[in-house]
Amino acid sequence: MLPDLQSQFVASLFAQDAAVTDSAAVDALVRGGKLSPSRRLAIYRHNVFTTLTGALRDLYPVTESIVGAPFFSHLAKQFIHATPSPSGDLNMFGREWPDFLAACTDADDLPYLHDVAALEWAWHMAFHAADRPRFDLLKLASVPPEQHVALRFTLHPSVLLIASSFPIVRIWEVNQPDYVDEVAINWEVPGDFVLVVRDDVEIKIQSVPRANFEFLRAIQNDASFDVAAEKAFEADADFDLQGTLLAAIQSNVIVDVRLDSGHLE
Amino acid sequence: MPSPNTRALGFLNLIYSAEMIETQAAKTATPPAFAIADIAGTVGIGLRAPHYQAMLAQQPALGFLEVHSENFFGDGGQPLKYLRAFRAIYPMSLHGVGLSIGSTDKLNLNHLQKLKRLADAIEPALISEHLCWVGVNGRFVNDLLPLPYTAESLRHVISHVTQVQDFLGRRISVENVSSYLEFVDSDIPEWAFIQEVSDRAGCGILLDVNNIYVNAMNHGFDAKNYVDAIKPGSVTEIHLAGFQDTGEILIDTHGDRISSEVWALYAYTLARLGRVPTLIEWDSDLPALDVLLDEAKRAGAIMQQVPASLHPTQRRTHAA
Ligand SMILES: [Fe+2]
Repeated sequence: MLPDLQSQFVASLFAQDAAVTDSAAVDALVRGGKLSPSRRLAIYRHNVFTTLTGALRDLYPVTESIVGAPFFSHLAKQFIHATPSPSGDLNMFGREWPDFLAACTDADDLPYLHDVAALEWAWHMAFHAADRPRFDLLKLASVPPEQHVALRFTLHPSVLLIASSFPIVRIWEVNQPDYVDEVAINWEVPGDFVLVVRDDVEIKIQSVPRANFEFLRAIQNDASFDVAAEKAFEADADFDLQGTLLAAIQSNVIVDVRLDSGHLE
Repeated sequence: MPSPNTRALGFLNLIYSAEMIETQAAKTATPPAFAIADIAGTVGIGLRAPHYQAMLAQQPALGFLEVHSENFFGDGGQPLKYLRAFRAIYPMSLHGVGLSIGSTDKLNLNHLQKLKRLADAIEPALISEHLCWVGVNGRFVNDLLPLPYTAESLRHVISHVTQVQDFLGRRISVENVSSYLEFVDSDIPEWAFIQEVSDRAGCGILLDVNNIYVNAMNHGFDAKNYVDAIKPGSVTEIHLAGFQDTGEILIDTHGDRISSEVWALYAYTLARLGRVPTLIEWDSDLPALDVLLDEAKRAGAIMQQVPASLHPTQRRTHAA
């Protein structure tokens, strides 16, 4: 009864061939009157697609700026059909958009598009990530120097690390609505190692040297300090360990530290 | 080159300096909890992010603010920071759009947990959800879909509202939605359906006067009959908003000023229900804050004409 009605109604909303479905199934469910049942269903279909497309537009403004509004709408429609919204909380919708773009043949001539979209999703994640108190340096005071190598640092919950073969930070930058400088992009660069982090409420997106990226990625994977340092030195023998760590603490990228024996008080 | 281990050793002494040690910001406590009684006879507006700065600068005299609960389901960051700041100034109403109490799916526990976490952090004066369904079989449409008004739907909604109230440990209110269709199966008038939900689940009614008007026009009934069927003690809040007339149907856009017909219906509703807390909702084509404040002022003027003795009784307790 009610389960059937709801299943049928949602199936009709997302029917690929709207005209066929509307005339058949919907007439049995919906009263006509001034407007036909299909016309009434079409109002809901319009509202649903407008809402979900709008959510994607809000999440992925750079993607839209790159491809233009009409093509964005075309892609959004495909995505909405292929990717059920998983929650009544619209903020949960759109996570699969970068993967969708990577697989989408319509966007083949824009090979960097899905990496840029991944950066936009990272921004969204950072926006809602948990708050953490800043790094408390007193915690380190009790650690004997010979144990420093075994320290495990914790990154801020907003931190996301993205590696791309394209200059995605530059692409992101020139597609910001308030960007006014020249829009030239140097495509000769080898790629981007990107750090996304929120400091208080400000979200920062920055290209970092490969060694810094490897250092932070190792910490994110819960490596001890000596292992993380080793990863960084593998990438760059001249890596500035102390300066990088200091900057990471000051910019709220690293927020906590522990020894395997337990949290430092 | 020295080994990484050697390089890692001893560096901490260099960065461990007093000037870098920051005192942790003291945790701000939630201001005292407000009850519905605290917002009785007042007017509020829906709080939307583009108005945050103007609101904080002006701090207009409003009885309460209302936000969409889901926009504050995140773990932290700007949304919650602002919500706490506003909560320190105004009583808050949490208005959910996504719990989907009318769906035949089980209630989404994760969604409920986030709502509870938010309610416990914010201590709202009111929590509301829509009398509708938002998806089924795990697929959400993120739009407010009407129910067939039947005995089966009634049992179903009452069970879900009871579960929500038990889980939250708080009474909620359910709001009537605008609709653009009616199901063939419906055999209970919408006004009787929502009153029955309130009576049997012990929840409040959030009466959206604009939605009553929109449905009256779309489905051909007398809006006043709807209002007459609602018990004064059941209504915890009133919503006012603007609709759009497409020529063939009225669409609840929350994107315009309140129509003269809805103002008239509001006055009629207050004369019957008393000074129910009233909220101005605006979601699409958001204008300057002053436009919302102007609408709020107009609602306040109408409310002032209602005798204070007509205050609704709000003493119905949570049925759980
Ligand atoms: Fe409403």
